[in-house]
Amino acid sequence: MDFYPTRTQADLKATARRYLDDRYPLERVAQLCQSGTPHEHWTELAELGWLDAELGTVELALIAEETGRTLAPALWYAAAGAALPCYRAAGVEPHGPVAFAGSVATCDARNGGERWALHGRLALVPGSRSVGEIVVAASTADGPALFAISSDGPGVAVLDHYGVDSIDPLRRQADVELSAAPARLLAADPDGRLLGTVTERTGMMLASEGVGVAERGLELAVDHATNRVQFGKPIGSYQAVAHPLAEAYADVELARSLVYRAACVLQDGPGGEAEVAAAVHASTRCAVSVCETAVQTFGGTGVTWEFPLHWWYRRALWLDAHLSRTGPLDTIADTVLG
Amino acid sequence: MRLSDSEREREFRAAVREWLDANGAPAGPGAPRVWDAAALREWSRASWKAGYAGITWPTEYGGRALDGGYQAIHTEECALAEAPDHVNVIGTNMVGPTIIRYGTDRQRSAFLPRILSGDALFCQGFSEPEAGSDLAAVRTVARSHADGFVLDGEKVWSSYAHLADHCLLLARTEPEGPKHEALSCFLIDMRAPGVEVRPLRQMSGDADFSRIALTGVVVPEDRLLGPRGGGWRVAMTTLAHERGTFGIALTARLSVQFARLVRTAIELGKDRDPVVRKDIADLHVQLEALRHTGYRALAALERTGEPGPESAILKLRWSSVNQRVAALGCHLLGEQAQLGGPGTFWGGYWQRQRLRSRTNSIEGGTSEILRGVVAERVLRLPRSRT
Repeated sequence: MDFYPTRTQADLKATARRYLDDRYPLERVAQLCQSGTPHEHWTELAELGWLDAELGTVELALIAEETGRTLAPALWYAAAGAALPCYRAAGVEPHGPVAFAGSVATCDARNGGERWALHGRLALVPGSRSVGEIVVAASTADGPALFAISSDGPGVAVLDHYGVDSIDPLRRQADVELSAAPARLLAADPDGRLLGTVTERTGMMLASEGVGVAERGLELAVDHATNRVQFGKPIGSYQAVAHPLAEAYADVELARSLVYRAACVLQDGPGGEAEVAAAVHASTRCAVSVCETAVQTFGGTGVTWEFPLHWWYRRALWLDAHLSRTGPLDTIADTVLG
Repeated sequence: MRLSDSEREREFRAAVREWLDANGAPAGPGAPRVWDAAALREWSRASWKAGYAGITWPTEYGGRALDGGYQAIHTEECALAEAPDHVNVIGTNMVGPTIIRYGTDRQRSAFLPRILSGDALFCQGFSEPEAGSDLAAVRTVARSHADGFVLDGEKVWSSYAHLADHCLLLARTEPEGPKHEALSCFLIDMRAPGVEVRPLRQMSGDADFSRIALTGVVVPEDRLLGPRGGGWRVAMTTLAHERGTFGIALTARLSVQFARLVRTAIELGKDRDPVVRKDIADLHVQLEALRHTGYRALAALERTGEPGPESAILKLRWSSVNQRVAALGCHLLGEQAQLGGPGTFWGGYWQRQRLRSRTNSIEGGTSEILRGVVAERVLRLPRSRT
């Protein structure tokens, strides 16, 4: 066993950190969050090699930790985790940012000869208003299949009723209504294998993102506890402040181990549903609680709009809510207790 | 990064399993077997003969000079097979490596081979009634004497002391000076006149630990381990060795305990209760997180020679998960948990575990001390003590 990033993997992570720290410093993230303008740095992602088909799941996990740590705004996880493998199954590449909707239960595909048309509703699709194409999992007469649709094509209505008030402004979502929306078939997936694979990959990557979010929250809090002086001493020297941060560190490392384990299991594939569920459960819980500990450490500053910590807390809350649809604890209970 | 064994590791693991199948006690249903001292000695001796004592020790001292990954595999497989620790686990895992590092040639040849064979059983004499978390405050005194030193004092929370032949003991040799430079380590003969061992009974009724009273115990000069006044460093080396594969042992035993919890839920028909299912699933996540953090810490140790910072949290979080498992075990019993003893489910196993598990967050470093270690040494927060 060698459960530790290799030299090459550690380099990849360090490079990602340097690039993202440089590109998305605290103030810039706050600015992007406030302006609410979508920001898909697709060309840069391609140049960085983060869209390469050769990236393994461990590599995806390591990058996702860093994108979470900096709240990098692109919907990279949806593209690299889910959409691209579907395009590649068809031997094609998308031309720009793509979103993913795995909504087999609410979306039907009907075939009129050579032309496919999608009907139904895609609930809460992140990025549906900022990308060119959406990859959609729909049910056909022969089981699930994966399609690409144009987000502004005929028969596609991106519903705006949630307004701009997503809890995380960098993960703006909308429902998408499809009525005979023309679609390109990317891959028939009768046994649901491709859909399962990409669902587990994105779950793992979002869990990894959660670890990065928590890590940054902890970093900010530790920095503050070291420098903020009250009663004549840095507050981090008081055990009432220091010990919750030690527990937060434990939460981060434990969640990280589960993410790496899920990444290794997915790399060796197939399967990995229970491992991803464990990573998701630990990571979302840790992201939320560590951000809450960080807010508490910052005291009054921590609860202001001006101080950027809440953007990380918002991402943690988004992850927790977004991933709750997978019911991670139920999955684990079924594995352990049948 | 990979989770699977290398081919050599796989072969080693298979051999360990095969040996355990042939020589271990088969794990039966219900509460685990309780090993008496004679059985424990016999098992440990067989384990040594099979080459499973001192796996990482240098070959010149009877070891196999394998890397820590193999020790981890052996530790894990033993725990999963519900085999006990080597009766001399303190000797093989803590005292031996310390003697290898600090001992004289005579001490090495006198103790090391006998530690592995189980002929020189060791315990450890660090904590005292007035020196718990503040270990450097030990009051046991070692005064110079014509034949070496004479020791007076009291040690507490010593595991295996009732069986031990020797004790690695920390005492004050210098009455003056900074407290960390006034201590020395000794290899004490537990049969020497003036050494008295009394069991310390815990609230669970178990007596896993002893109290050692030392009254005018004469210790020859050549039983000083490391430099006089250098006992703090020696003791810290001993405690550091506790950390290597210790986390793996803890989590593997926790896996077995968790499996008992699952069996209990099923036997009591509680496995369909949605609240129980959620609790068990959550504990499973925590257990797997600990297990894989142990693997990660081990890989970091192999890679860099230093235990990674993540190893600092294993004992801290293992204790709280083990306590939660025992608590849920009791909750599953419902009203039955009012009772204890042979007539109740698994002979009162969960009730005893509930009481015993409170020790977990105190023994081997309290959770408060461990949080302080993480805060100061890992997060680099300013020191709380001046």
